[in-house]
Amino acid sequence: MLAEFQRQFLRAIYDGKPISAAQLQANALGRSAEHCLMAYSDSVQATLCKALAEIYPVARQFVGERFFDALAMRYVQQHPSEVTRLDDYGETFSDFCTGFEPVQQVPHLPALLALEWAWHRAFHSADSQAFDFAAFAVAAEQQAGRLRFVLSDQLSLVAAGFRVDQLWLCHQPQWPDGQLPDLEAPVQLVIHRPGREVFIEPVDAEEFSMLEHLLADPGLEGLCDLLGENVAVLLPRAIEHGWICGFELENDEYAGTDQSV
Amino acid sequence: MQNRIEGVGLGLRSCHYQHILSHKPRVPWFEVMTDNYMGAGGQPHQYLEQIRQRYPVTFHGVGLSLGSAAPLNKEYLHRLKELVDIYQPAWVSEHLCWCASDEYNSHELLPLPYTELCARHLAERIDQVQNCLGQRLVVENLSSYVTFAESEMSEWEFVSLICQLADCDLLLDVNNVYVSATNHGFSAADYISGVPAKRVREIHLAGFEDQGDLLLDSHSRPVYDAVWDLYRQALERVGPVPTLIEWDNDIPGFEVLEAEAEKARAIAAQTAGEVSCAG
Ligand SMILES: [Fe+2]
Repeated sequence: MLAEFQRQFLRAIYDGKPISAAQLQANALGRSAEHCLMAYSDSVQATLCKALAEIYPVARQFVGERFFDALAMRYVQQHPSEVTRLDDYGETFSDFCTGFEPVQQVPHLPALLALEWAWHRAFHSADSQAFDFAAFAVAAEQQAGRLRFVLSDQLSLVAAGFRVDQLWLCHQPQWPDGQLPDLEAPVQLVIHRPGREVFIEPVDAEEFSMLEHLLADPGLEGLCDLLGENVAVLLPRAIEHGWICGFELENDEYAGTDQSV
Repeated sequence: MQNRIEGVGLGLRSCHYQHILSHKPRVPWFEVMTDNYMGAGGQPHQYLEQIRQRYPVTFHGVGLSLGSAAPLNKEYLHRLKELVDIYQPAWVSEHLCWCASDEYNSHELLPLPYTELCARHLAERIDQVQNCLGQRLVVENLSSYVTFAESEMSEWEFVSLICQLADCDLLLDVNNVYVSATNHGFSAADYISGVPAKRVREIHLAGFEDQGDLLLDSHSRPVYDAVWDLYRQALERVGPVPTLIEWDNDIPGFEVLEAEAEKARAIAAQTAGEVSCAG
């Protein structure tokens, strides 16, 4: 009964559907029950639009507040929140914009949104652990077949046909006045937060495909097959950058970060 | 960590982190919006750690959805418990509301019909939270924009019943009382007289938006004169209770919040003087 009332109430707020499980009343100031309910619809939409504006501040600056806010409102109307935390709302905003006709005028927008989502994720994720080199050396020698890397929880990969990192950077306060960003050239980026600050780092094709591979298959042996001799250069680099923050042995509780050993 | 909560505190907002850390203002305590720290790490926690070292804090949440029919969100509750263990707030408060159905989340504080059944449902869930946190929960009265024909009692009777059933404390939001009283045509003074005075642990003050045929609890303005008057009445009833200025939208400079806090302090001092003279 309560569940049905709540389901109907939120469907009314999001989709304007009628409520039969409870009888809403007009208020004392002469506003009808339907209009009172609309105060909630308006408030929910405003909350979600504000959340998107806070998650995607550079995109909002790039396309202008009016265009962004209209786009956000359209997205909100079609995407009721199903997340517990407001911080998790809007992950599909970039995909939505890719398929949305008016965004064709600003083709750089979807990649910029994807980059900002990655930045936002990194900003709020767990702090990185230090990699335990000593334990890794032992495990790699004795149990290489069971060794799986743990990637930093905050790490995301973004690839774009233009320098989306430069587009992001030129909206930051430290960008020199009047200087135009050079956006020509595709880019592959790693977004992560090794310490206090979020890093947006361009990487080469080999590093990018290594990380793509690790996200799908974190095993050491598969990585060696992929990289061949280059593993000796690329793997230490990935650890040094903090992209890989630990390891674990398959079918084992043991994980090689300094917190768990 | 010191944890004495008295006088008039302010809601901690991220736009004021830098100001607080560099100017170290004389604010007796800050109320921390727990939902802003549900994330696992990063800057919000680095700032909060530094601020917590210097100031007492209370926790205030909006996402627990105490009144939802669906089971309590265990993951959310456990994270809240972790945060309580880390930052050791003087107390934790939440709203007497629901936010989510089994399909959608509104991220809004939504009302329930004031029935005994709903009061029992809320009380049961408050009890679960209290058991998990190992402390009394402080629950806040809502401002609301709708009422239901199904209600069997007044809002203050509903609130009192829940506090009694769950043996929890009350955060009396005086602005919310005023907003709901105006929207739904009941007496704000009756509300203040009807709440269980001994359970009131904290008072909230904020500004609303007047839409003509509806007051919106916007937390975007200074406290209205009518709400200051009601605050006076509330203090006369419940005694010198810690009070908090809330401001969440169009957040002004820190000095504006301090000026609002100063007004509240003056009213509290005046009321305490009058009460002790009369006594
Ligand atoms: Fe409040």
